[in-house]
Amino acid sequence: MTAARVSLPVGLVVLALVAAAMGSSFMPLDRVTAALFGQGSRADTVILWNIRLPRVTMALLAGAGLGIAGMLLQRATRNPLASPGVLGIVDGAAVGVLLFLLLFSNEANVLTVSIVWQPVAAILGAVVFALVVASLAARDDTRPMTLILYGISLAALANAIVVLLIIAGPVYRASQGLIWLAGSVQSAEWREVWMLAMALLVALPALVALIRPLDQLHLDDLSARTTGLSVTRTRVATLALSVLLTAAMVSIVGGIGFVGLIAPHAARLLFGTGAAWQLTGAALIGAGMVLMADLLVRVLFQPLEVPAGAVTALIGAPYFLFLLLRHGRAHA
Amino acid sequence: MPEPLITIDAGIMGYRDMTVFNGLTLSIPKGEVTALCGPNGCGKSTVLKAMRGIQPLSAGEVILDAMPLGQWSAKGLARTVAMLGQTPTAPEEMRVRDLVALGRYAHRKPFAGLDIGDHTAIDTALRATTMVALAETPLANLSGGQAQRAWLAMVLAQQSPVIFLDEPTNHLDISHALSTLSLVRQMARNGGKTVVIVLHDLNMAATVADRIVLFKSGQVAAEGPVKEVLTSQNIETVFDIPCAVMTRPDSNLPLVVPLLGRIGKSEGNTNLSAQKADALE
Repeated sequence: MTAARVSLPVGLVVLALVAAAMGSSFMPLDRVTAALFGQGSRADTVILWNIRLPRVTMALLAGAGLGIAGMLLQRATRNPLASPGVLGIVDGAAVGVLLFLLLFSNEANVLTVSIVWQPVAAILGAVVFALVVASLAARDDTRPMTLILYGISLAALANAIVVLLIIAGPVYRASQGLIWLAGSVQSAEWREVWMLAMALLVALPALVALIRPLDQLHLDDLSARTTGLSVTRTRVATLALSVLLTAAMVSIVGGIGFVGLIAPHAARLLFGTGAAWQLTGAALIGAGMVLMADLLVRVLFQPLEVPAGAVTALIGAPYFLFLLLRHGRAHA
Repeated sequence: MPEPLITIDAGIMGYRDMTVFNGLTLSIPKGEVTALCGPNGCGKSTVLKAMRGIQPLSAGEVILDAMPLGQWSAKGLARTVAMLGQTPTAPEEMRVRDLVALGRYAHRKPFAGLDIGDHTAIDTALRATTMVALAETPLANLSGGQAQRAWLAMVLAQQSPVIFLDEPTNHLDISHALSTLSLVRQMARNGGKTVVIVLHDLNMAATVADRIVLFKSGQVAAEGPVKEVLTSQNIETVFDIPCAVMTRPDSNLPLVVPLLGRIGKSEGNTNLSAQKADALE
């Protein structure tokens, strides 16, 4: 585990440099580092700072946020199949964003209100869908599969709403909605990067405060309670933080699915089950996944711009099926 | 009876549409081992949960150390009463020492690692349960008896003056069950702890407890010192079986022997077979 704790951050830095070097024109690493420290040519500096670095940073931050959100969700529900995508939170956020785009932009495709409201709309959508899933699950016993089925149903519903909004809405809205929806970091701007960073920064103190309660949640509910944990309060706080983080990430980069499912699993294997390490691992692995996915679509599909979300889903969906087969048997 | 540490006063509790207790009054004395016994479904586990604030009362109140349970903070309560449920679970890959450390939750300061006091408590608990050699072993590699001792170590690390145990000998063979009970006895004798233990085996209860409370369908049928409660009359009333209560040759404690004859054969002509015959008619 120590090896992973050292090599993963190093690998991530290398990957980020490679991602900065790749693009419609290849920039050797010496030029990348030169431009990074203000020593490069004017063209290099513009390409690096205005196009590639926002894209790389955005991929890193969004991946980290989604990884953390997934880990929180899995720990709070004690369900290895849970993730923001599976439970309909990502699609709920999408409904919020599309309604926002529909209601607050004019025919010139320009928003009539500030873009900072987009995350708010995403959060509203995500919270509504998360609450519906949670209240449905609360009625029932807490069998893992039940929660997942409710989540998948609600996700399907949200998806249908999204499709209807795109088709029935004005034509000028459709392409904008579709690009956002597929999950992509290609049109990254620093302003959006800052919004992601702010969301993570705001979440950080809550995460730190939750570390020990999350470790205590390794125990069954009765044992956790009798050792002094306020189980319900911890669970609600963890779920709320997960929903807010997911919504904040999704509202800016779109539906990059399955990162929140895979990153916590990989983190558990590579970093151990201690909440502090698993959170760190999920953040690093999530960041690496999205960056890698974005790099792959840039290299493989050039000059087409394929959304990174397509790649994460290509890897993530089979993995989810694998989990479903393994865990589904035990609870069927 | 020594001064009561915990009392339930006119407690009414139940699950959804079923009332388990209606107006229960019960006192648990300080520094003794009290065993809660009775037939399956008589509500003994429910009483334990109610006294720990896990199962809410719909009426009445629980007083712990002269303060209503509702006024205790979650951590304050955990520092006073530790509890081991029937089916505790933790991740399989967790090591024994890390499990025991989770017992320190209510004592730890926020954002600090385990301090000297925590480590002392953990080591003491591991020694008391003879789990020192297995401290670094993952839970998955423990036998049933070892796992139970690991959980008891977690409970001990909580350093609470009161310990609740819900059928801690379930799924253990007789030798592991007895070693678990002797550990419980030590906690009370040497550790000065107040122990409340739910047991369905009356003879095990007799060996470990100072006092026994017998429940029958939501009522206290009998309570008091072991010898006073374990009479053939009380047991026949509570369990509907004929029995003899003998004196154990080793300890002078009561030994309950059900008089069922050979189960399944009719020549025993016991109450049980008579009842069965009644039911068949």
